[in-house]
This record gives sequence, structure tokens and C-alpha cells, in this order.
Amino acid sequence: MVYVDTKVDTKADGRAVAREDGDSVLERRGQALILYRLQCARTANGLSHYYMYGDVPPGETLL
Amino acid sequence: MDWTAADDRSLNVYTLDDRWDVLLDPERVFWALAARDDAGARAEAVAVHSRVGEGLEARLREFRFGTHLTALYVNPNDACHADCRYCYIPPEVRRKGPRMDRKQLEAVLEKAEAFFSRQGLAGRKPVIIFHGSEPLVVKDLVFWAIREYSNTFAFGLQTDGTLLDDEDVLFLKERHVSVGISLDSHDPEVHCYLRRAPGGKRAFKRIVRAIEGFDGYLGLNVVTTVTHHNVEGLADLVSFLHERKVPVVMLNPVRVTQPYARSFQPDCSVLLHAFTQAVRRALDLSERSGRPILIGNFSNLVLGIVAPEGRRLMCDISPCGGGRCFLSITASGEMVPCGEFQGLAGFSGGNVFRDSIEEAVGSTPFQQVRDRVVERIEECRGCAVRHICGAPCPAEAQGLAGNMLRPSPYCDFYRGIIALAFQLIAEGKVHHFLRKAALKDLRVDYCVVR
Repeated sequence: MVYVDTKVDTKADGRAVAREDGDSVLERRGQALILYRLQCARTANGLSHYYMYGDVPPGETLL
Repeated sequence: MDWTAADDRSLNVYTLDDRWDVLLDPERVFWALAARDDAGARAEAVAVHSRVGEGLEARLREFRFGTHLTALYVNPNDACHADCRYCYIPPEVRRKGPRMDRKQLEAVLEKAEAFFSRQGLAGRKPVIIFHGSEPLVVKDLVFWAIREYSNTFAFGLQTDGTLLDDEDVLFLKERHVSVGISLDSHDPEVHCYLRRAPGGKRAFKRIVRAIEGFDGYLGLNVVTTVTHHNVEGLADLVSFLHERKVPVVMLNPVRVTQPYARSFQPDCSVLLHAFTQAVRRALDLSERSGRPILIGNFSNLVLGIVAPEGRRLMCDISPCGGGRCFLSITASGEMVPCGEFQGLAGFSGGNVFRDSIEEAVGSTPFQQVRDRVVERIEECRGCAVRHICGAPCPAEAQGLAGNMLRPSPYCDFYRGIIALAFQLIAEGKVHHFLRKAALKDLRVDYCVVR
């Protein structure tokens, strides 16, 4: 499910665009309303719980 | 902050600051920040909530109640060379506990390999974390296992760092081992008072040398146990570690599972103030230098709000990850849901030298831990942030009250840092608390910012 408000992120014709990357959403400062949810595209459900913050980048890791 | 919830599946309203209200559905962790007195903003939040709410609840339920055992904490050695004042492992075990020999550790790893091969981990390597008592007391054994089984497992190592030399640091980096080093303060007096290790201040210098030797290695995190002795220095500790290129620090309030640890518990309001300063310091340093330092346990809490199923640390969720995502094996082979249960009677699910890992996972003690959910805790049932903090930790509650169905002794602290996380969302700053690599794994589910 992807729902992106058209006031926020639109193509030239006004259609909503779903961004792939959550980074830009997190940086937004709203004036009246802020709501969003990000979903793990490669969810681990705890698969790598220890590695989240001490992890080695995927390209370099044995994981 | 008062997060009392009037209604479970509708939007409760809380005052965040002069400008913003938090609208929060506790059961689905649907949230919105709406400008005060902006009826249009509220109406829009209600509309999105009604559209996505049911789907969120289903996803969160699967995340909470799925059993996906993917990691084993292995203590190859129960006898420790140190005597940290608040350690959750009872002193008699730390003084005289057994250690595994190579044949025993090999048996554990072979059994683990067979177990995980039956689990279907979608091509991911299962994780073995060598944990404490200090595992590097048996360094040759631990390094042998990392060399021999590197094709089978991803390895982690939690150490006090006093036995690491330059060659070891290189070995761990080359093998992509995730390394946690315990450091309670940048002030050697404070650190050495709390973590009594052979060598005293000379040992402190070795720890700092090891941290510097990792030289920005992304597999390093520094673990700080926060007590009332070091709580005031957290922000300066963050600066100290940032100067040394540490990418992640965990500022973990001391678990008061054992009676002797309770005198070290920091006051919640003091802890909240100091932790907030540390978060702000980390933010400032990350923004100014362009080189981030994350506070890992705060990052996980931020994820609990913006991407609840993206959480990786399995303490701040109910049921927790103990006996569900991981389990812990002591040097004598006892299998407990988490190392924190090691000093508590009645929580062994079996012995790995005798029983299967499946038997342990299916055992009554493990099931009891998996059954410990916020819905069953009276104080949590009516709290709107119960699925963000998860009321850690069951072992701590058991140790404190003889009953797991009790709230966290740090409840007020959690309420406060969740408000802090919402403030950072309002400021558009929370991306500084998530790794770039992690953000790439997140996609937008829904979003309104105006």
C-alpha cells in the first residue's frame, strides 16, 4: 500500500508519486500536518537484530 | 509526558509543545503531528487513519508474534576476569563458572548449524554472538570458531575490550565481525569504578586504543551502561566517541535484574535530561561534521514510530526477542531466552549438550517470556505508547518483583524519550538517527507533510 498526498509530491500532471527512499520524507518539516509510515522493504523481522547499529555495509559484510 | 489512552483504535490527542499535537492510535501505532487548532489537519489525519489503520494492525501483529529465531548468544566462558558492579550474571558464576572447551563449542555450533538449516532464513546467515562473561578470556577458542565457521555464520562479539590488541582488531575487521565494546565513561576514574577489570587504568587505555584502532569501522558499536555514577557525562561521552570515529553508541540504562544492581539505577528524570542532552549532542556533531554518530537504542525507538516493523533491537517490543528471535547459551550449556535470565531460577529451556534447540524454544519458560505482552500488564494496557517502548524487560521485572507482568522501572524515561522522538520528527531531524544503509531498505507506505 502506498499513499502519498498529492500536495506533497507530485509529477507535473498532478499525479501522486511514491518515493522509493524514506530519507527525504524524514527530512521534511511540515507547517500543519506531518504523518508518514515507512515500511521495511527487506524486512528482517529480527533477522539481523544485532546488526542494525553495529552492522557492516552489505557490500562488505559476510551477511 | 502523560500518554494515557482513552481509546485503543482511534486517535488520542496529546500536547507535544506550543505548536504541535500528537494524534496517536495506540493499537496500530498510527501517528500524526497536527498543528494546534488546525481542524483541517486533524480531519485529514482521521481520513488517512481510517484508510490505513486495519492494515497496520495486521502487520504489527505478525511482527510481534512471529517466532523467527535467527541468532544465538553464546557464552563460551562464564568465569570472568572482571567484576563489574552491576553485572546481571551472579558473582558466584563470574568467579567460578565453567568454560567450554573446543569440543563443546564445536558441538554447539554444529547443533546450531543443523537447527538453522531447518529454519529457512531466506539465504541470510544465522548470527552467533559471543557474549559475556568476557569472551576474550578464551580468545583462542573464540577466534578459532570465527575462522572455522565464517562460511556458516555471521559473528558478533561483545567484549570489555581490555584484552584486544592491534592484531585482534585487524582480525575482527578483516572478518567483518560486529563488535561491541563496553565503555561506561570517557573519564577513566568513573569507568574503572564501575567496570573493575584487571589492570585498572592501564586497561582503560587499552580499550581506548582498541576503539581508535577500529578507525571508523562500521561494525563497531560502543555499549555504555548508564548508572547514576555516569549519567551526567553522557553528552561528553558522545563527543569523546565521535572524535574517535565511533559510528554507534548504545546508552543502555542499567538493568536492575539483580538486587546489587539496584543501587546503581539512575533517577528517571535525571536520565531523561542527560539522555536528551546526549541525543542533541549527537545530532549537532553529526550535522556539523557530516560524520554521523548514532545512539543505537534511541534510533531503534525512532524506528518504532516511523517504521515499527523495521526495528532490529528486540528489547523495545512486546513480546521481546528473548526466546523468539534469539536465545542465549551459557558455558555450561543451559539455554535461556536471553542472557538477562541467566541469574534467575526457572528459566532454562534445556541443555544444549543434551537437548535440542527446538525443545528449548518450545519449553514452558520460553513460552512464558513470549507470553509477556503489554496487553497483560495493567499499567501498560492503557498507555498509548505501549507498542513503541514494549515495556522492557521481562527478566528485569521478574528480578525486581518476582513477576514478569510488571512495567519497566524506566517507564517515565521511555515516555519522555518517545516525546523527544516526536519533537525530532517535527523538526525534520530524525534521519540523522538512522543509518543511510537502513534508510535504503525503507520505502514510503503513506505520507502527508504540509
